[in-house]
Amino acid sequence: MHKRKGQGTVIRFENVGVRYGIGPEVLRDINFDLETGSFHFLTGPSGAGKSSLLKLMYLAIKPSRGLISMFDQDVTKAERKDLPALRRRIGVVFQDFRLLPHLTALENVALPLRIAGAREEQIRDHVAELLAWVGLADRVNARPSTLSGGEQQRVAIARAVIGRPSILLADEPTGNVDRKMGERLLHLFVELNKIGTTIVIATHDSGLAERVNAPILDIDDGKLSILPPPAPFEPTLRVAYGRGERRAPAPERASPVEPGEDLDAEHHTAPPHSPPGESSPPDSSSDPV
Amino acid sequence: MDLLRRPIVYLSDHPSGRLLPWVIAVMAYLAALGLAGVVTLDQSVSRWRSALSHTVTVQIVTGEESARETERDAVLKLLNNTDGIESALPMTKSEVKTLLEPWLGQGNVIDDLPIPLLIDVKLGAGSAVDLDGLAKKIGDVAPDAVLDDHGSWLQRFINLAENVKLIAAGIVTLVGLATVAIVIFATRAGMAIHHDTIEILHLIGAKDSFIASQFQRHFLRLGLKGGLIGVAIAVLSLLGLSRLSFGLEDAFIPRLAFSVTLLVVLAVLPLLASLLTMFTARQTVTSALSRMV
Repeated sequence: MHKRKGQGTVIRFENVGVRYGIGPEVLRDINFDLETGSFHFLTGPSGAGKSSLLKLMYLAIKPSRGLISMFDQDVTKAERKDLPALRRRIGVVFQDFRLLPHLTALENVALPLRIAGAREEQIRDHVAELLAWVGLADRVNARPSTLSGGEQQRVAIARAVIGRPSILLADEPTGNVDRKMGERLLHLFVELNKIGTTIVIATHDSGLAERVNAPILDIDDGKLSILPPPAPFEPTLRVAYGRGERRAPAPERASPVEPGEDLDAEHHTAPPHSPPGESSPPDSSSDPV
Repeated sequence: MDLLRRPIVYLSDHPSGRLLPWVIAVMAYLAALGLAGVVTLDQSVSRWRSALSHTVTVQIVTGEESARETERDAVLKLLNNTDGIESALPMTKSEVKTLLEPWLGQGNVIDDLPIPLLIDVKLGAGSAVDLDGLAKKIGDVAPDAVLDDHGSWLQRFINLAENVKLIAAGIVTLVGLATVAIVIFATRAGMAIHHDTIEILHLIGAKDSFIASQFQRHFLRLGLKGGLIGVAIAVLSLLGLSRLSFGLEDAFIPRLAFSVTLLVVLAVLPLLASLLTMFTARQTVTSALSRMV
């Protein structure tokens, strides 16, 4: 497989089909390549096969036919014992979060590190830092049941990114929160993309794709087509980052956010893996949830 | 307080977690009693066997009383001159009477009966006396004497004991198998309840061994707890039984004593129970996980 300098194909689907049991194929002839560090949305009506496609990408199911290559490795032929190492390079934000109910936010986020056998001190500092970065510094010891939907979502996202995955897959990550929180989370994904993470976000919300000017993987009736980034049409729809009720009716930038481009100079949020001193956690007091 | 050391799969809050130690305790109790039976019978059988090989009796049954006494003296002389014989003592009339009392009752009935003359012969420890040859020699000096090595009837007693021992060992095996089955069901129930947790761990890259270790640690604890409870109750039962059998002097009642072997068996049993429980749980989880992608 070819590799450009610092780039390359991180996910490749060739003629992939999926059927469950003896039912009809829910995905047919899926072909696409995702470049390392790219940002894609995954859209399509309910039941079109978005979840199945994501499951293929996070190695929860195997295709009935075709070839899937991730990290230059044919995952359809990979041995079972080699899959955990691949899965650790893939962060997943599940639609329903899937936090472990008896563990605290800290423990939930620490899970991927614990599984990878990291040392206790490393885990603790690292996790606390990341939770602070997503604005949950004061909620580290809270159980999921005592967290609001938005807080749970951020714990789920923190768990997905704590292990510095190469690929981040998110299923409706803004489906359970209000618009403002959704935009804030979107901002987080764009920031992660800037540090080189390949991102795929499944969403019903076509507005999201317009806010982040990213190409769209569109599934309809089991078939996938790749749409170019949508042209921006309303500046008011662009991401309104920041605190409180601040809106941006007269934006400094007319075009929507480009992945890999700096978002908002006033509210620059450092990625979680930069030195701790540089990060400025979002103000959790403005959390609308 | 170390939060990160808490179990990831939180099994303890399920009823099966509370019930299972007691089920294992019952199993450990039965296994302990079974093993105590095996050990006790085993010791009794070897005791009987050594008695069998160390004592023989010479009976002089027929003939006139004076002739019998002559034959007895001849046999005694022969025995005392034979290598490997520790002692050969004639039993007195009153000793024989005591032996017969249970059947014939007290009184002077025995006085009127022709009582056989008996010689109690002890073979030297470790000596191999040719009993067939000895019987022949005895026959030469005393045609009415019979050498009885207790073999036929004691052998039947030993056979019986050996079979009871086998059955006890079989019961212990069945108890072990039943424990395995129970642990498999409990593990499967635990996995079903925690299916979401297991799936998450699996999807974020946990190896099967990591997930299995979450279960096996829990089941190791349950097994140890159950094993200790069961064996503790079994020890109390055995103490009671040994107190009841105390004072019964019949040589053919298996003597329940807390021998070193039995104590070792009882001490090891809770460990075995916990290891059996742990490995069964591990195996169950691993085989269930291998069916996931």
